[in-house]
Amino acid sequence: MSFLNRIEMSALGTALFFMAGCAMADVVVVVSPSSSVTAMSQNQVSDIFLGKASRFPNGDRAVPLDLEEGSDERDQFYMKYAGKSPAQVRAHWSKIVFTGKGLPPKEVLHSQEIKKLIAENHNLIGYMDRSMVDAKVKVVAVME
Amino acid sequence: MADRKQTVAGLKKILGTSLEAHLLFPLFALLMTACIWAVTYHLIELERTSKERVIADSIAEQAETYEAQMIRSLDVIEQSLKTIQYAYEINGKKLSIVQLKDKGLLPPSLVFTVAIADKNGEIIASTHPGRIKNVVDGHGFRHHRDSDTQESIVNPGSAGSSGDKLHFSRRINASDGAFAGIVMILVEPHYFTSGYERSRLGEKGVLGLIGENDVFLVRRSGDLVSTGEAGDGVDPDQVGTRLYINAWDGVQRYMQTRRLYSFPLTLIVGLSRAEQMESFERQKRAYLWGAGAATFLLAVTAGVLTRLSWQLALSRRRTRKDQETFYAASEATLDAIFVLRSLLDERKKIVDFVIDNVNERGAVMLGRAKSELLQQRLRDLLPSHVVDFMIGEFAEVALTGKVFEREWENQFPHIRAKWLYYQVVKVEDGVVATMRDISERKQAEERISHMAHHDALTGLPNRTLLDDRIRQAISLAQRHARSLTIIFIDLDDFKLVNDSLGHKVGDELLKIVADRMLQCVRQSDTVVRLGGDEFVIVLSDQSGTAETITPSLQRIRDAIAEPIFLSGQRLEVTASIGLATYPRDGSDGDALLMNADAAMYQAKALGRNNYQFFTAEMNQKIQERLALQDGLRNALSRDEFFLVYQPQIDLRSNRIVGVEALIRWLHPVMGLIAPKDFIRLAEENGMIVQIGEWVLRAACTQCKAWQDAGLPPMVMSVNVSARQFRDNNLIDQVEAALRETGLDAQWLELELTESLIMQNPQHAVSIMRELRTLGVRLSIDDFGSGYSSLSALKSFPIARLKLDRSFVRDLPESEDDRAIALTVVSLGHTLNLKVLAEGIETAGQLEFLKEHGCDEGQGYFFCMPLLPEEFKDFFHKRQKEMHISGPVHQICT
Repeated sequence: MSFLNRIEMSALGTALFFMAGCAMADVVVVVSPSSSVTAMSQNQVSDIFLGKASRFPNGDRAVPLDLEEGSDERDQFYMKYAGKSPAQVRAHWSKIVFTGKGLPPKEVLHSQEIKKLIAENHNLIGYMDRSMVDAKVKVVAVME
Repeated sequence: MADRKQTVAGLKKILGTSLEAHLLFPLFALLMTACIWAVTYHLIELERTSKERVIADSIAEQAETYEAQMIRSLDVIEQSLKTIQYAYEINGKKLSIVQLKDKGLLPPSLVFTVAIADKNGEIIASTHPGRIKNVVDGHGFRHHRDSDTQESIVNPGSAGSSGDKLHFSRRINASDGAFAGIVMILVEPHYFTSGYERSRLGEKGVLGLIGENDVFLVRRSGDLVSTGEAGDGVDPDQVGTRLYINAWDGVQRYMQTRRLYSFPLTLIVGLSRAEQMESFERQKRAYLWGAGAATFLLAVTAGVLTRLSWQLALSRRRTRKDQETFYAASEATLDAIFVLRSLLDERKKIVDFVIDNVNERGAVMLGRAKSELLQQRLRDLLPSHVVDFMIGEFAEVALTGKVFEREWENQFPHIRAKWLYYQVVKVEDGVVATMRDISERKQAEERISHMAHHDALTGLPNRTLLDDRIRQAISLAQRHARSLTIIFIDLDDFKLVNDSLGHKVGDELLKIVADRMLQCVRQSDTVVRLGGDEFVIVLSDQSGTAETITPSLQRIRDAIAEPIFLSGQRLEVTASIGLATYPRDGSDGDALLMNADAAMYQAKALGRNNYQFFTAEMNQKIQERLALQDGLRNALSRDEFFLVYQPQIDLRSNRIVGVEALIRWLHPVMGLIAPKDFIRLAEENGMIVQIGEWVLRAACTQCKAWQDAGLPPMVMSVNVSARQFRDNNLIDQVEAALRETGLDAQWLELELTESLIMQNPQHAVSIMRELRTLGVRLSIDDFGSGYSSLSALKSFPIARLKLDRSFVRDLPESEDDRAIALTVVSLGHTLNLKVLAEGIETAGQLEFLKEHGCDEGQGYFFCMPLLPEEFKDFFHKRQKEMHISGPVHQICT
């Protein structure tokens, strides 16, 4: 018996699930207030998070911070900014890791931690629910 | 050089005959097709091998890459396992996975799950808590617990274990070396095929990892990933690239395998042959299509060209045949044919012609070899004085296209023909001249023309030409206010010469006379023989007076009179000559000739051997003659003739033994006309034949009437003219007359003149014999005036000789006549013929004749010719007198 699994099919299924479940969630991209970056496009954001770019538009080094797998914000973020389901993100990183071209972003457990880390380092970039945003971070991208 | 030429010619011949274009084209097309396909297949083969090399290179490179990636990946796993093992063995249960993770000592948790199990298989730490349960039954756990090996392993995988993660594990030892648990790294099988690049492997390529149990831990083709399937006999130790048809999906692939050494794994890389060769197949199809299209084009082109060239060959063959036919015809013809090409100067004016072709006869005509003539210019061939004119004519034809033809008297010394006919016809870039030697025809024409205009015997112009010459002379005379004289010459007694010496002598005589006459006139004068012994001389350019003409005339007379020696005889010829002068004696040729003729008649009438100028009185006579001629034509139908009869007396018995029928013409205006005045006319216009027939019939009728009236039978003598005698109907006429009148043939006597018989004695004798057969008697009239020979006379079937009146007239005084009379009488008696004397007018004559034995006589002394009634009276009266007084001397009045 063989089990055939189409990645795309499963990705589509996951995407539908999240879109339905987290319709109300509103994830924004943030950086340190000390960063000179003020606004970023969707592609600039997704490139940094998918390992395709390592610098901000202003030339500063960019280090993305991810939430742990399975968090709503993470799934929503990748869905909205990169158009990828969690499986697709995993497949994406699998290939990069396998071929030795890079490593996935550092994972932190909570949005609070992200906030804390970002506040201290203008090279970091992360995402969080809008409700979490305060003066410690600067929102540079919002996807409706 | 010559050899080479020959070789080339031979080659051309061979090519021309055996390799005509319509055969060459298909051959060439076949050859080309073969080439095209050979090249195509060669290119395809090249393409294939190059493609296969590319594939081999590509697969080798990908296998290398995949192998490197695998080794590195497995190294990371191995390294991580070792790190955790170490960390755990030092820290024990205090070890924080999270700390290790934060320090970046663990592989990315997104892909890898790291877990530690204690010696009981319970998970005591994991990057993904709750994801893994107790592993006491796991392959790795059991392996590490049961065998004390310090090496990492991976679960071997098994058929049907789809979806399972791959477990990499390592034993953890307690400080005493006892089994303390295992550290595990779990990874999705997909991970090991995530390096699948569509751009390089395509949709049907394959990447796969085979475990210890010959099971695919994972296998990916395009987006299709499968796990836990049978390895299907892939040889882990295969060297290089091999082509398989993979059992799992039936795709044919180039495959490479690499055995890995850190773990018992074998990786495979495969490229679908169909996919990889697709570009090649496309290329191959393109090549084949190209070759096919080229072949088709070639076939069509060759077909069209073949057809065209076949048609060309056909038409060429037809043309050649036509040419050969034409050539044969042109060689066979008697005409010389020249094909001439125009030569133009700068102003497009034709200045010369070049001989493009000529047939054999043309070459012969010009007296040159054909090869010498070809490509020659006319100006180089022909003398300039003619060639200009000729080229002008030809150029006219070439310009206007009108057919030109004419006859031409040759002026080129090297052309033998005297007369040429040539016809010139325009052709495309010149003319074709056809020439024919018509010299013979011309000669014949000239001969015929000469014959038509000249007398065959003497070569002098004849009557036809005479009219023409007179006309010319008259117009000349008119122009110069001069005159011309027509001299009409008739040789005297020429008939006698002809009769006695034969035609040959007569002809010779005429020739000599003609020649002499020619000698004594000028070049501009004309001597014509009218026929027989009649000649006409036209003296042109005369002053018109008798005095000036006389010397010429005398010369002519002297020339004629000069003795001629022919067949041993000396002949002296005289001529009767009449002259008429333009314009005095007539304004045209006919009038002048007629008048000269009249003058000649006058000369004859005046005793011959003299000349007479035409006078008005002659004209009068001519008028009379014309009137007589006119009347004569109607005399028979108007019943104007009648016969009188002159009795013939037996001199011994004084009895009437017969009568001679004599014709008389009672002209309604001119009255009674004697035979001598109209018989000659009748002979001239042919009336004599009808008249003779009428006389014959009338005489027979009368003779029979007298017999019926009781008169004793007597002989009826009828004169036969020469014309009648020549006419073949004479026998029939006589027969018919006798039959129709019922007269017995023995009472009819035909009188023939001596000259009449002598004209053609043999013919005469045969007719005479036939007449004799009928029973008709024959006599010779006017005997003594001709030249009858004794031997001829002997053969004539005649009964009687009639002594001509000219020998009786001077009897008995003339000694000559006496001798002749006596000779004739004795001759007659010798031949047993009766002799009758004509024209007895005196008693003296009668006495002499009677005395010397002449049998019979007729003449005025006895009686004038009598009408039938008068004769009856005369007969009765004479019978009565004879009865009373016997022989009577003077009977007639």
